[in-house]
Amino acid sequence: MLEKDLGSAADSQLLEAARTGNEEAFVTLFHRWNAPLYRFALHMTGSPSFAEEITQEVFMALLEDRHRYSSAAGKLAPYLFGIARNLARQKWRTRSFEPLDETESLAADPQLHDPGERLLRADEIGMVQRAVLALPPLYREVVALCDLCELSYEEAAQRIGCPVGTVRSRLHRAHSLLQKKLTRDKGDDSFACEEGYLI
Amino acid sequence: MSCRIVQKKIEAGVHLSILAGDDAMSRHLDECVECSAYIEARRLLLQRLQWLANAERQARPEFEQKVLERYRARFGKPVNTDFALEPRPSAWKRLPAWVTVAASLALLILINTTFQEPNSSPRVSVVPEAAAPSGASTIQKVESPLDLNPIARAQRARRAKHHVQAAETSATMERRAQPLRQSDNERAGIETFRPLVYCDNVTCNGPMQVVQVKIGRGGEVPPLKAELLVGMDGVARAIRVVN
Repeated sequence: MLEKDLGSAADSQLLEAARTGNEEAFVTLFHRWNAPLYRFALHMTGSPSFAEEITQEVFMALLEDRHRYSSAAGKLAPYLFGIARNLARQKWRTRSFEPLDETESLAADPQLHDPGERLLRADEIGMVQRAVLALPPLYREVVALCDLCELSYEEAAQRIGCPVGTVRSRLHRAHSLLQKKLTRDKGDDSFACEEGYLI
Repeated sequence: MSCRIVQKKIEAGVHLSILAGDDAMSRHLDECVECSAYIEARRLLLQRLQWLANAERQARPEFEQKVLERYRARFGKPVNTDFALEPRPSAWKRLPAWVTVAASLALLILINTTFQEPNSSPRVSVVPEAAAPSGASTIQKVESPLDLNPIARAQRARRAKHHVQAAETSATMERRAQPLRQSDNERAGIETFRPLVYCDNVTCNGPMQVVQVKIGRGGEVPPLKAELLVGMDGVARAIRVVN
């Protein structure tokens, strides 16, 4: 039955099948959660290689930790993002920052034809990314989920495993910090250190 | 509406589009420069974050294959080695080095033991043709044992060449003496040589000598006269009784 309805199967069903060696179930689960996890890890670490590594480790951890997650404990998403968040914190300690490629960054906006505008846009994107990465993890993850992964507050709360109100307040605080950072000095990275926000 | 209420709403996470639809809020923003700037700055921040969200990169195309290979390795399934896997060493290469060396030595010893000459005694036999009256010249078949030692092989080749030359000389002499010998044999009633077999399937070549012997039979019985066909190594190959 599972083979026929892999696309519509629940995460817990897919995970159980994947744990018994069903590769199709694993592939379905991977396609379902790969992109969100990668985006989240990328915005949490700022490093594509770290993001890939974290995403990979999350899926391997799913297979290894067969005694830790069960469908009775809740949905799979908070568990996945919880692992990704912990791994991202570990990786973040190494501080390997890889700025986004300008050409790739601007490829998504076809309205920009002027090279000067493109350059300015790329500069601003890099600045925002640095500001996001300078946020404390608690605030960075809500920005990553709500603003960058474009999830609703409810979805973000589910994935983080906290109340919706907490997400709202953290997001507001994160926006204030970002705004302060971006308006204070565009080239000055010392804001986070002054505020004591870095880990 | 006061500035404090506007900030409270924004802190509570109310979306800017909702705030913009609020008439009281709109009126306040038209009048209050600070709140208007505050809202504008927040809108600009969200726009920049949107740019960053749109600028996201995807994982590399081979990333999925990499994860799948780890999955397959976890469950012992065959893995596609075309991507990012080092070639697996052959079973022979995975053996410890000492096993390889020991196996080679054992094989070498086995070959030496199998093909080595057991002793210096000739492993030769006289082929049936040796019984012909022509004597040594009829011996034709020669089989040399396998010799792995190149020095011994060279010595053996030299000896064989010498033996062949000697055999040719002897054969010529025997052919010349053959008519006389046959007639002598017929007159004296001498029987033909009987081969003395020391070992099957192996013969020797080279010249032979005829040695006359007397074999005592004890008592008053006269000794038996016989002729031995003796090889160059001193080993008798054939015998015939001379009455």
